[in-house]
Amino acid sequence: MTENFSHEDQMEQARKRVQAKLGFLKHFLIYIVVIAFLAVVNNLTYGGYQWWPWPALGWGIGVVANFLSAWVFVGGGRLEETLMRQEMDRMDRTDRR
Amino acid sequence: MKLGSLNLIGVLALLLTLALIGGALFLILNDRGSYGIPGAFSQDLLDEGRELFEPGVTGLELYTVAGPITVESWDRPETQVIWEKRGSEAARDRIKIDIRRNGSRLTVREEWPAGSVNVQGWVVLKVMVPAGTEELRATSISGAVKVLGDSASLSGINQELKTTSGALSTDGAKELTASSVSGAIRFRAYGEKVEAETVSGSIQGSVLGEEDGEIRLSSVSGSVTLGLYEAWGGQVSLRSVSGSLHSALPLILESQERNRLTGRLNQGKGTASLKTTSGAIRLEKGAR
Repeated sequence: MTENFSHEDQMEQARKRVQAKLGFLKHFLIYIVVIAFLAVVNNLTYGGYQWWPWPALGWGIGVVANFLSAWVFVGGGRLEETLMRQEMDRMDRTDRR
Repeated sequence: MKLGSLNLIGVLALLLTLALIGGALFLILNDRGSYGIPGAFSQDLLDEGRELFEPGVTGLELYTVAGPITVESWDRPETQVIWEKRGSEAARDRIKIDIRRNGSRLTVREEWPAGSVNVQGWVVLKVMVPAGTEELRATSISGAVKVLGDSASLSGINQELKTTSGALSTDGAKELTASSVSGAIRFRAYGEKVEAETVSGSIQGSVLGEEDGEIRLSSVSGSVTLGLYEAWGGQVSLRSVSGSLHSALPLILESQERNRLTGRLNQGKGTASLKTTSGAIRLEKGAR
């Protein structure tokens, strides 16, 4: 039972991590396409004031944060696993009573 | 796709994003004065230039879009054009000052290439004119137009001044045509023909020449005040729909209604028509 849970949990966690990484790549591609589009619109309508760097900057920070959550700060999954194990133990103890 | 490839692509995407953020920051910090606000590394907001023209210029045609035009008389025989381009660096790069001399005629125009809508920049134009200048046409779309100097040297210049939202003023003109939409008009003229019209600005002027000419002043919501020299003679018509009418000159009344007054001043062939819808009208004695 415990092994089953652990395996499913690991599967679920791996699935989430891969989804997060693929999600980041989608996010990145959308970011590049939209910013390129804004830069083209900016320069086609009038080439004076370049306003497209503002969304590129703000959104870029969001993309970096997305990368960090998908690759670097993945400890949340372990915490979730630990808490779930504790919760399962508590439920087992309650059932035994 | 292998997991290692996914990680590699992710890191490359991150590096590209960081490069884009760096580029965006660079552009933002190097933006020099867009919307008139200096960027973090901005050095200056204006480019100056001047050009001196040999004597012989008697006609001037000046045009700016948003900046003011100042024409000033001086005691030198040359004509000098001084301009300042102001605004963002991109705008200053785009603005061209087109100066052409064709015989005795000098044309100065602010020009923008196509596709420059909403670029924040303008030209401040100043022209020093010698005695002997005969004609001036100055048009600014939204800037003020001023003609400065002593009345004697300006009184020989026929002037046509136009703006949409700026004020118009001349310290002296021979014949004058001045039109604005929302700006006030102030003038002193010596010629036979004076015409000034504005929509929401007031008009205040004096006609001080020896000849009895044609004067037409018209505003919609502003007041109209005209000073005439004592010997001016001719037909006078004052009309205000909802404002007051007042004459400080000895007007011989011919007809008087609630909002209209016609009469005659001295003997002469001149005509003076002052009209407004909601402002006051005053006829005064002009001082030379």
